[in-house]
Amino acid sequence: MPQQPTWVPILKKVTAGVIVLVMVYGLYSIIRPASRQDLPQGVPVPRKAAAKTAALPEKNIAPPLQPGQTRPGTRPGTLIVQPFQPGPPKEISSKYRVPSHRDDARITRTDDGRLIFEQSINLARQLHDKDIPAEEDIQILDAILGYYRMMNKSNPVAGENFEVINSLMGKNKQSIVVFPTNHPDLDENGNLLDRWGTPYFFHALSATLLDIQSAGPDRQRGSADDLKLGYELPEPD
Amino acid sequence: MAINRNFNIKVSRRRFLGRSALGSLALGGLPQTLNHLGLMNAAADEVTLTDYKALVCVFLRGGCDMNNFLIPRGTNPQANRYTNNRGIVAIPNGSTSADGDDTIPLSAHNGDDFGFHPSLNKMAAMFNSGELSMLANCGNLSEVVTRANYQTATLPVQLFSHSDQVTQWMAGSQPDKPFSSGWGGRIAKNFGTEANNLNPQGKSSMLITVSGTSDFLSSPGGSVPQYAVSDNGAISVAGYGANYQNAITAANKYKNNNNGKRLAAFEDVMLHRHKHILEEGYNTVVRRARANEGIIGESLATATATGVDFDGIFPDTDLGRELKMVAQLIAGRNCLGNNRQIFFVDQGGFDTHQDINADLPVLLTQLDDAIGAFNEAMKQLAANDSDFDYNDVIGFQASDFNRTWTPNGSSFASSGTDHAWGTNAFLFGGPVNGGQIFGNIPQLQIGGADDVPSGSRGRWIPTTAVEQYSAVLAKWLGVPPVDIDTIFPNLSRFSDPFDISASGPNLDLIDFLA
Repeated sequence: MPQQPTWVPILKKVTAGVIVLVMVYGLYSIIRPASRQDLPQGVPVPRKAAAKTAALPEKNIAPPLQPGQTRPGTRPGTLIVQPFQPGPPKEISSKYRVPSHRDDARITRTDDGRLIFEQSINLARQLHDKDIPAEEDIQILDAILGYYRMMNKSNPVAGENFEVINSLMGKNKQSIVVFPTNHPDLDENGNLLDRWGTPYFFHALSATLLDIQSAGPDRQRGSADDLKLGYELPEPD
Repeated sequence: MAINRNFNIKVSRRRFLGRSALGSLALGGLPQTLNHLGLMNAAADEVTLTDYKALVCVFLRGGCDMNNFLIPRGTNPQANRYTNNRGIVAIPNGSTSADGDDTIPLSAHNGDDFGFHPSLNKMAAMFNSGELSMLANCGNLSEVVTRANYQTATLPVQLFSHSDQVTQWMAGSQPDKPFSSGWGGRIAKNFGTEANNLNPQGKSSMLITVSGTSDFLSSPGGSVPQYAVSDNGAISVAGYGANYQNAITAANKYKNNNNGKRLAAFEDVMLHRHKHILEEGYNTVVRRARANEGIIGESLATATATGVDFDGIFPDTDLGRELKMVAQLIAGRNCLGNNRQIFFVDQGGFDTHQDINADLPVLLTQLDDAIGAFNEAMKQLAANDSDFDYNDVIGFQASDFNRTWTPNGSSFASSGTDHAWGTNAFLFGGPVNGGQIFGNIPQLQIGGADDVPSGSRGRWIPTTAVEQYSAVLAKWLGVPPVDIDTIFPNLSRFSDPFDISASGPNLDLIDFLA
């Protein structure tokens, strides 16, 4: 009888060992605690594993936003906005945030908190310039009031000339200044005079319609030479 | 935009809907029985209303200068102040500073001498016979405002602005809230509920305007439509001749011509139901409007049958024609079927920044003639109709605001007055406690206790809120006390208008038992 090579018994033992290991490993795979990824959806994690994945400490968690509220997002430069419709909050980029007037380069903030609208101030200094026709005085004033409305959303609430001008000079909720306080055509009572020395008449039609009238060269209101923008309220249907 | 070019109907959909979802109502001349027309309701049996009340709002657009309406005169302590401050626009009032006396004396108010503008003869007679009263210094307020708290109080939004102040008056004030409805419209909605329906037999809207769309009659969410009546004819569908004479025979049948066939086809189309909300909404407006033409036509025919000479009584002015229409609809109320009715009319032209000395007398004459005629018509109707009482109707006046105490110039020909605030108002009718000046007469003085602290023209801070004035009228109309605060949510900010004790706000305007 020929003798077996010496490595055969060793091979048999190794092979048997590998088989045993594979069997043991297979048995372990069956009975071992399941990982989160192996579990089907909805199956709770076994208690031991669940302990490892316990919730983080509840600190620094902000209260839920109310509809319309905002707070900074987790990424710099973002904002979380809770919309008015039901649904999860949305993050929007700050580049879409509407700038306030405080960001407006046309406005200068003074130490006393007033906001000077330079474009409008410069326009006011052109009033009654001898090189422009009188009709343009009214249009300049209308434009200045337009700047005022842009910032304050409505006309000055005023019944008299000086009250309108006071509002334009900063006496308003936003402290916006659209008319210079040292304009040469202001009289001692603060009324703005036209180029013939008569106070303008501001006719309040609505929150956004303010007609402006000058008495004209004859300095009589209601005469044929009056200058006016001509705004009128529509007749009821 | 034509509805259908084949019909060649020249009515714009937007414009038609824009008449506040109204019915356009035909006036006299229509066939009385319209059973044969597809969209017209059969003329229903008339009802006999035994409990009827109507409120008529007379709105003076532009801000009537009430400082020249009710004038301190003669021995009144404020008579000289009137003459001196009103200057070139003052009416001679018999004061020591005046040159003569053109005012119409009124029965003394608490011993003080007052008069009406010389154009107000009929209304002065009504005042002196107890049929008309004045309410002093009323206006829009968010809260009680005084000269002391003026700088910190919440003032009405856009004070001195025409459209805002008009809207606030019609809303029953609430100037701190955006406009959503008129107080007349809120009353109509209130009465339309199951619990408070006082118009169970109503065939037409409780809200009728003779002056176009009215914010006063605008109901919450459009729940109660207001109906517009023209003072000189129906706002009919164009293309069929006056009163559809080209399309309808005398026997109330469609004519066998193109117009008749088109009208029949048009009405068939309007009867179709649509799934689309706007299409159905449009058709609903048309159906409702056409359905009411017959009702109103019958109402006017009934008015004629009362024997009251409406054409002879009323002046041929805008306000005269509007109030004539109101009077006729009141006379024909059984056809409308409403126990409670609210009407709206207006007169424009009171924004007298210039030419007040020429314009105001003309305007007040027209007003006086129309109000006097309406009052007379109500009396004649009460005499001719045993189911109607002079106490069934109250008319009340409102306006944007008063005007400045001082004029804006020195020329008699061209001067005028400018926007102010607290104003006087008048109300008239059987139930009115007439011949009195209610509320609080302001101190008529520049820089005085009732003058707005900013400014120098004399603009009175109201001492009676529009809510208080309106609440009294609403209660008379029949709004249950528990619902008054629903109609006027800000009323609790002011003193109780129903407190007629000596410490109350002096608003005993109406005899509720009349």
